[in-house]
Amino acid sequence: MVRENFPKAMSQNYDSKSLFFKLHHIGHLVKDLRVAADDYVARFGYSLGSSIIEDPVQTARVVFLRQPGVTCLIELVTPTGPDSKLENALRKGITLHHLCYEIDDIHAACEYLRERNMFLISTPVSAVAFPGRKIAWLMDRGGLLIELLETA
Amino acid sequence: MNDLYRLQFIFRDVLDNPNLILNETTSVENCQGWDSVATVQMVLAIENEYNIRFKTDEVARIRSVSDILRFLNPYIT
Repeated sequence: MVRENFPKAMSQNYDSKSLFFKLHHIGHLVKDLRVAADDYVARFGYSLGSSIIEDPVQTARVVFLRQPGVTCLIELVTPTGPDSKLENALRKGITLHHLCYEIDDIHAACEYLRERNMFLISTPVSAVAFPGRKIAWLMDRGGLLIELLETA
Repeated sequence: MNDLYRLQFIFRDVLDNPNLILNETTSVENCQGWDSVATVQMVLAIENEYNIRFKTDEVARIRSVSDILRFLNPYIT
């Protein structure tokens, strides 16, 4: 068996003292919320964690799923219609869509990640799915899409 | 191959629109499907095509094809 050591930078703790990125949910882009939710319930023991929520800013309809004793949720996401920002991704077969991290200071986190080579796609805006809280979007060069969610 | 044509090839692929005709006035305001995610996808494709690297704050300022051509200008021979 060949073992490969990680480069030093990859094995070090990240250097932020004040920012803690807590995984809040994984976004799964689907054609049909109800069909996908049924599959998650039947296959993996999830239950519905919300009603279906429509966010016109994100041009998406979403529903959250949860597992007993697990804090990280699944967010099923579907386009609101053919003009949705998400339609193109769905057409290209992108399904595992994003990771969402909860963070106390969303503005500082955006700057922190931008300095670490991530593209800021959307500055913090209010989110229908999380009343009173803001979300922001970033992407890295590998195409990893990250949502930041302001802590309640 | 001129740069507008090279960009058009990238735009068509990213926006999934094989009939898109690009010109210097094409912008996020008049090009269907061109949003901030598409901008990043285009930038990544342009980086590969031209073997260059954009700075992340440069990308935030891209709003039109002429913006992209302006960034590319120092690299175009």
